[in-house]
Amino acid sequence: MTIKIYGYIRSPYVMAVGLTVYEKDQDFELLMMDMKSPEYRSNFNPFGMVPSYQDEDTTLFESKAIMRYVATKFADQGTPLLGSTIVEQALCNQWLEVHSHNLVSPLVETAMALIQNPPQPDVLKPALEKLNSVLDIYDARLSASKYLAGDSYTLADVTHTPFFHILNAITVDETQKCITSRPHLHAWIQDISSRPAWKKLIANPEIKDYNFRQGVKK
Amino acid sequence: MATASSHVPKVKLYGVPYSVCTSRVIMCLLEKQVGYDLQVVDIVKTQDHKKPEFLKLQPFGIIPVLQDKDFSVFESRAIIRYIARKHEGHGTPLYGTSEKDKAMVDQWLEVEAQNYNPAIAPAVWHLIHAPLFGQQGDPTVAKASIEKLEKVLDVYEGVLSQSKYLAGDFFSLADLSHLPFTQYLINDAKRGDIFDKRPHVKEWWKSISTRPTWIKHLSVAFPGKNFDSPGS
Repeated sequence: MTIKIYGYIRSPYVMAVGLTVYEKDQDFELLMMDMKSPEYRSNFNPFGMVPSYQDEDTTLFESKAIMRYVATKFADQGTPLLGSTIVEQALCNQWLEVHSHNLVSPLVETAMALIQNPPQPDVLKPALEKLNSVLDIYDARLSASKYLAGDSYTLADVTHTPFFHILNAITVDETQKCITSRPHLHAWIQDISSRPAWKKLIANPEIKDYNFRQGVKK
Repeated sequence: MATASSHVPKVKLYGVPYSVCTSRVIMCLLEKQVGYDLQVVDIVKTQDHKKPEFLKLQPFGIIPVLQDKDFSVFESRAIIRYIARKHEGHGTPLYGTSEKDKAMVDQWLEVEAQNYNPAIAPAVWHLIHAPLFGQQGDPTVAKASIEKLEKVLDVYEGVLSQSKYLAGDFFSLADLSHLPFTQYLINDAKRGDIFDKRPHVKEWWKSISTRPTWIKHLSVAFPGKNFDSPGS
């Protein structure tokens, strides 16, 4: 049975799951369902959110749980994603939590402020301040190690790739500087964004042809 | 405070026992019978978490941090995963006993982090903790937070009608992660009613909050404090 992922591919959470599947040299079928329908809630995700995942063994929701499951199930295929030691695995989990609790909020607030028309400097300024202080911490971490968990590329790096991709797609000079002024962060983003699995994912026309700024297809 | 019995050398835990996130880790250490030395990081009076020595350990200035020999890890849910994995063969099997179990534990631990925590945290802050930090709690925000929490508990009621605990018929990291905030909401903010009116949720709360490890932690973290019967 092919892996099934439920959701719209331009969601960064869905992208993170898709990227994980590709990194493990697997393929997936992308499907949509009405997320609020009783059928979706009872069979896939009782909270009515995407992504959900299904293979011949299991049905799962929550993107980071799905990513961990796929990385474990296909442990000896494709790229190892869980770290090569228990310490790296702990740091991978640490940075997955940092992503959830420290990065997503200021990044999304900055993105939302950026796509406002007319622009809202009162909203953008505090969001950018918060984002910049968080990115300082990322840059410091990445000055000490090649990837977030250490020397190995892991799920922690996977989860960040779509978020920085979307930020870059809607960026203006000010937000470009967030990245380019931080050399280690910049180098890391370029590295994780040049991986074949990521390039394969974003060749999907639903992402390639999507105007993230306008929220519509080009 | 070290535990009496430990099968391995002690770890060092930076935090305070009454903090939600530190409690989460302490509970896991107790369940896995891992001894620890608590390094108090005073987040109220001396604001130790904002000082350079602590920021070297945790650059976001948030407790807790766990030090195990020569490495340190932060984020409570990452710490408990590490402890559960490292001590898989000892104490309570907090990841279950199969890969399928582990996937379910990961799923429900994410649910706690992404759905339950954001719904309960504002209520606990505005009803209980804000004054501790010299701020005024906002009852409107607390009310909205509780409404969100009730929607999450409706989903839990369905899940817990099918299994004894969240990830299956075994107590796991997922259930454990709910203890600290829920304890505050039920016992300090006196909102046990929202759990009581959902029979499976009520049963689940009674079961997890009467675990001897949790009772022990409460007696250490809040010495002399009286706790109502679970669910009241």
